[in-house]
Amino acid sequence: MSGYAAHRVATAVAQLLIITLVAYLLFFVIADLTGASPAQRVAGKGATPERVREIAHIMGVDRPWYEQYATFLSRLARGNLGYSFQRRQPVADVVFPAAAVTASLVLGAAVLWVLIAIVVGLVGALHPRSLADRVLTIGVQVSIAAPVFWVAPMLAYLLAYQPTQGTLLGIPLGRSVSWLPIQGYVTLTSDPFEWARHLILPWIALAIGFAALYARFVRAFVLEQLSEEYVKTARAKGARESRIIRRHIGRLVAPAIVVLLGLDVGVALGGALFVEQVFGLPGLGYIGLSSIQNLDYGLTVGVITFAALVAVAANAAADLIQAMLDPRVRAQ
Amino acid sequence: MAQRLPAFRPPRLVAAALVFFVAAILVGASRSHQTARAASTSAHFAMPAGSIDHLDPGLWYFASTWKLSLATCTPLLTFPDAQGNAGKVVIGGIASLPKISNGGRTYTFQIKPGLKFPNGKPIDAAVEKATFTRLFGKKLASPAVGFFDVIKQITAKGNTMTIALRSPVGSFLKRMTVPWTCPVPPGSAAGAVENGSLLQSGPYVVSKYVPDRQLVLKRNPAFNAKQLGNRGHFDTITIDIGVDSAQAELQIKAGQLDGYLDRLPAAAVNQDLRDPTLKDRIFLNPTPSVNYLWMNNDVAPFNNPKVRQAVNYAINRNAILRVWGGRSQGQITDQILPPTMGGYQDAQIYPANGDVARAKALLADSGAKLPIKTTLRTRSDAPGFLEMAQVVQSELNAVGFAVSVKSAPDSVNGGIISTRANKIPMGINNWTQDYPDGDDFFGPLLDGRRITPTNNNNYAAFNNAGVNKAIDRIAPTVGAARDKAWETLDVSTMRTATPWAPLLNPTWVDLISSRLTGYVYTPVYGMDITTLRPK
Repeated sequence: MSGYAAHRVATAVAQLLIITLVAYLLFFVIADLTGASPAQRVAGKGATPERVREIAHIMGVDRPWYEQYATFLSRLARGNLGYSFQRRQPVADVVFPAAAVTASLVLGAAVLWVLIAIVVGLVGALHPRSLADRVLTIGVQVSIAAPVFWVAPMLAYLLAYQPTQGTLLGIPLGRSVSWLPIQGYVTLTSDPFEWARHLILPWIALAIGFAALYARFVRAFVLEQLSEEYVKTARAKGARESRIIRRHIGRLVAPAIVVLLGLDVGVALGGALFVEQVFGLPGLGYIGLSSIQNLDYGLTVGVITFAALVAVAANAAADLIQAMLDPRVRAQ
Repeated sequence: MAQRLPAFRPPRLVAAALVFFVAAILVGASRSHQTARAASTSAHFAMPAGSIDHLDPGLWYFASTWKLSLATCTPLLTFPDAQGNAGKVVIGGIASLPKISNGGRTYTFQIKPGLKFPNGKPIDAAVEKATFTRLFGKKLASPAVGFFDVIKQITAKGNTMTIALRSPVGSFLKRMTVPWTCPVPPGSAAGAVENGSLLQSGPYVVSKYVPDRQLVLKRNPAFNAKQLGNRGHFDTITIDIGVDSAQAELQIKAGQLDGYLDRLPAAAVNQDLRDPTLKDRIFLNPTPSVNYLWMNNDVAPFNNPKVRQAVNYAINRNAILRVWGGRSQGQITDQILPPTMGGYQDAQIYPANGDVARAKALLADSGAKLPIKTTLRTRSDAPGFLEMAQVVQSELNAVGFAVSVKSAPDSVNGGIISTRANKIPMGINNWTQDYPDGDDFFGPLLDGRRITPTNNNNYAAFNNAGVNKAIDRIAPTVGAARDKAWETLDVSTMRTATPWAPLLNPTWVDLISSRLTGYVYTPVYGMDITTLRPK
């Protein structure tokens, strides 16, 4: 197991190095070659060429890219994500609060999509080809097909805006109500209820697609297990079906879902970018995009590095958990 | 025997989550109503990400930041909080209108008495002089320098500040209205101060600023309304930064937001204009700006005026306006100066729907070898620009060009096109006036002597001796004669030298919440948030 773990951690480190290197080349070198200078952006439109050179030197962007990358890695090894010259503050001071917002979004959505997937998947597996199963299957297919950048504004329009105009999904409510905010964010520590209220629609928007995929997985997995020998044995011994589902099949489904969650963290971070934009959540996607628009290279690379770190760590953790649970993986 | 399956019961965790969600909705909804009732003297606005470039009055330059500056500072001179032509008349700000002497070379300002910073320190001539000195400092690298380089000397004594110019400049009074002239306390850091602590001469001060997230303004207790006007009617103004325009439009209609300080989505605006319930709170106004297609004189065959004129004939400006959002979003133009400029006359130089035959004839006459392979650059991060570029591409290709379109966020694209050595053949940009005078268009955009290797605003690298001479001739003039001269130069330049293909003058649409009144659109800065008040 320790050999596998060492190999997996080494792979994760290599992945991280490749991602940060690509980010560096993309945002420092390519953009610089096209004439978009970060020093120019910091110096302002009216700055003299001398002033731009001076600022480039202070920022360190006048050095060869490999030197800059080496400095970046050495700082990263000491836990320093760099400095945002646009915001005039350390990248970590921007990234960590944003990471808390994205974590609120992704973790909340993950809870939601797992709950939905278990309910929908079990209904389908326990009543295969029933009317409920067919309706839910159609719902799953539609949810998989619906892109998050369409779902998010539609949810805001239908569930947050329309009630303020006295209707809900076309049904008159009789009066104007403001149940859910159209956009915005409140921190968990300042007001937990407002935090949840502001995140309900973002959670749903991010969860819908994943819930559909996971529901399909749960349905197929449970259906397959129901015909296994150990289930027949349990039934023969008089175990109730609910106990079989909970104690036998459930114990197999849970680790598989954990592994899937680990693998999907990176995908969810990508989806979070759209959700954060639509609902105005100041998360990693939001600050990452605004840093690109502002040519804030330090922050862009910091956000990419941090997001890559989370995704790579989650993937590695998922693999290690799977290896712990399944000896065949360790043997590979 | 049929397989017996258990009846499904939702797990307890699902039920608990549902209870929490419903509780959050109910508690939150009731709290939001309470908040709305309690905070009757607060206003809530929003703007997109990246709207604030700087909060240091020596550095800010974005139009959206200048709009906010109406609330947080008072320039040396200013414009009234009034609509239309009345809003274009220069009036006193921190100082009264100056006495002009020495053939237009000396301006003597009297700083208004009784003006103070919130810390109680007086705002006098020495403060204004120190403000200018800071602007000229190398550490600040202020964009103001290019506007104020006509200043030879500044002297201050008590409340009197005298500015001596190198030569008479007819637009000097208007230049003194730009928000870079807002006083900052003497002894302020020579470099940038971006936390808002320097903005202390307007009806509001910055009480909280989280970059790209939120700006909170609070009433300035030291603001002298007797001298500077009864401006600012809320105790607090909160501005959320990074709000998507489509969501903001819904929030305003839902009563969750009072206004949006940027362009609203054209499709939503066109729908709102048909909604009778919104007619008292949706406003369309012309902007002092132009969207234009520039052609680089450094790059053949655009160094040939006939090719540039051919482009003007090839494009269908009405088609371009349609992709920009339609008639609610602008009006087509073939002139450099916008209709908001004094003395403007619609000369109708090029056909609105284009004239393909004439364009082809001019191209043939120019001797340019067809197809003309070229690149058109524009920004990708503002709606409408890429769409305009694609229409231009299609129309130019129809007369003998082979145009490829490249786009990037403005921060990237701006760096590329303003570096002269990059020799970008053509591009679509917007220019919005800094102050209402023709020299703010012809000076930075078309005066060939002001072309710089980097940070160049004259993207067309246009350097025409006749136009340069005309700029010099108009420089010392004032009043209606000056306006007329700029207009004449505008029309003659577009008829003969033709540096650009002007496309359209955007219209600005504001939608405000039903609880506000007092809307004023100033022709210089747009919606004036200091005149808005609760109903």
